[in-house]
Amino acid sequence: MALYLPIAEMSLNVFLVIGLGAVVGFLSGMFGVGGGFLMTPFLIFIGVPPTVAVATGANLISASSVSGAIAHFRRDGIDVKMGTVLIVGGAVGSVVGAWLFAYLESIGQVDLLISLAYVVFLGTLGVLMLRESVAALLRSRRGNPPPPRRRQPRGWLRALPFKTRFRTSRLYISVLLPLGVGAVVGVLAAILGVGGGFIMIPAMIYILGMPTNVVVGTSLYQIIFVTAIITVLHAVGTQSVDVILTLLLLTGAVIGAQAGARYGLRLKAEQLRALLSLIVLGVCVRMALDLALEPEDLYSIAVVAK
Amino acid sequence: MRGLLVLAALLLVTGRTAEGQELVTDVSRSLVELRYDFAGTDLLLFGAIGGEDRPGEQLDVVITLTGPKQTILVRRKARIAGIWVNADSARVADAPGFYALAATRRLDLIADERYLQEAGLGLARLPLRVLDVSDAAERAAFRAGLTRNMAAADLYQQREGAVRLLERRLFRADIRLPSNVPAGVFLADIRLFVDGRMAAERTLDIHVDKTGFERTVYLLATRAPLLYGVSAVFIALFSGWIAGMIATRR
Repeated sequence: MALYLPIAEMSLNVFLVIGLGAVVGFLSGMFGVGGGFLMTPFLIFIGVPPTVAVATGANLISASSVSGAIAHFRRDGIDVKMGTVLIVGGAVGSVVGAWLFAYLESIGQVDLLISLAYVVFLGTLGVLMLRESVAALLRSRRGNPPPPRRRQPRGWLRALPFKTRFRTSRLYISVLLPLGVGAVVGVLAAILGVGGGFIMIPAMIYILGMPTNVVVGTSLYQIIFVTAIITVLHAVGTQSVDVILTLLLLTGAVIGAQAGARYGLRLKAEQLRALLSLIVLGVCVRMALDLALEPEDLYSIAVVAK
Repeated sequence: MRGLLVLAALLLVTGRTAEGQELVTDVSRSLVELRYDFAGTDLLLFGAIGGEDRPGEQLDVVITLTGPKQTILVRRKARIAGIWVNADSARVADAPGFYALAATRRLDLIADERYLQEAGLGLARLPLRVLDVSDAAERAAFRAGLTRNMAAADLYQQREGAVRLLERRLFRADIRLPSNVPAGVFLADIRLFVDGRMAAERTLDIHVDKTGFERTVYLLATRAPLLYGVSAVFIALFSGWIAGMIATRR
C-alpha cells in the first residue's frame, strides 16, 4: 500500500515505513538509545531526500522521547535546572545548525554536509564504542573490575566563572559548561536530525560530572525541547518536516521498542554495545561509500521555481 | 472496455459535420487528485478521426502531455579530495515538470525534422533554455543531464508506438502519471498527421491537484511554515505521549 507524502513529494510503501520505524525502534529499545542517528541514514537509504530525513527525524525524536521523560520525571530522575540550562545552550546551537543547514541547502551542498557529518560522527562513535566494549568484554572474561569513573570537571574546566549550584546533581560548576555542551549538541542535532543523547550522555558524565541516576532523564528532558526547536527551525528554514512520515515512523517505533527492550534483556551490556557499534560502523561505511564511489549519474536536479 | 470506448468516440463524432480531416478527442479523467494514497495513475487519451477516409493516406497521431513549466537547477558532481561533490550547476528554464510523448510510430517517420524542431516534439527537441553556461557543449551536457534525470524518474517519457490506431478512425494511448508527478495544469496536445503533414490539432487541459488532507498539509507547510512547525511539534508530542501510554499499559 503506497502512501503519498506531501512534503517529501514522493510515495512510499506504508509497510516499508512502519517496518523501518519498527527496526529502528527495536534497536533503540534493545540498546537503550534514541535511535535518531540510525533513523536519518535509513530514511536516506530508502530514498527520502536528506533534508526531509533530517527535519522529520528531529520531529520524530520529540515524539519518541515524551513518555520516557515523563517516566523519569515521576521518579525524580530529571535535574530540571541543569536540563533547562542545557536547553538554552541547545537553542543557541540549533539556531546556528539550522542556519548552516538552510544556507548549505541554498547552495546545493546540504546533502554533502549531512553525509560528511554522519561519516565523521558515526565513524568516531562506532570506533570508540567498539574499542570500549571489546576492552570490557576482555576484562569481564578475565574477571577484573571495571576502572573507576572520574567525577567533577578537571583542570581549566573548573576555573570557568559563573559558578552555579545544581542541587539535584549535587554539583557546583560554571554555568558556561552546560551551556557549551548544550550548544555543541544543539548544532549536531540540527544538522544530523538526532536527539544527540549519544553525545550528551557521555558529556554529562565525563565533562559535567553528573550522577548517573539523573543523566538519562535530564537528557530526555532537554532532547524534547531542543528537537522541538529544531523542528520549527527546519519547518521555517527549509520546509522539509513531513509530519505524516513522523506519525508512520512513530507507529512502527513504538511497537519495535517494546520488542527490542524485551530482547535486549537477554544480552549483556558489553555485548549490546559491541553489536551496536558494528551497526553504527556499517551505516557509516555505507554513507562513506556513497560519497567515495562514482555516482551512476553525475548530474542531479532540483526544482528552483514553479 | 474497448466497446465502450468505440461507443463513446462515436457519440462524440456524431455531433459534428465532418469536412476534411477532423479530430475529436477526450481523456479518461480531466482532474487528477494527488491524495494520500496516490501511487501514480494511467490517463487514457482517446479520440476519433472524422471526415472522409481515403484508404491510401498514411494516418499518424502524436500525443503530448506537458506539465507545468519550472525552472530546474541541474548540478554536476566532480571528484574533489576523493569524494564526489556538487561542483558546477546550471539553471534550466521552461522545463516542463512532466512530459510524455506517445505516437503511432517513430517520430522521424511521421514528420520531417524541420517540423518536429519547430513544434518542439520529442525529448531531444523540447524548447528548454539552459542558463548560466555559454559553451554549447556544456549547455547540451546539462540539458541531457536534466532529461536523463527526469526520464529516470518517469517524469519524461517518449513512447513511439504507444498510440494505437483502430480501423483508421479511432485512436487511444495510455499515459502513465508517476506518483512524483508535480501538481498544476497539464496540456494534452493531440496532432493528426496525414501523409507526413499535420492535418488537425486538438488540445485539452488536465488538472493535477493536491487535494484533501495532503493539500492542507502542503499549503500549511509552505505558506505558514511557523504555524506548521509548531503544529508538527504538538502533534508529535501528543502522539508520542499517547503511544507511550498504550505501550506501558500492556
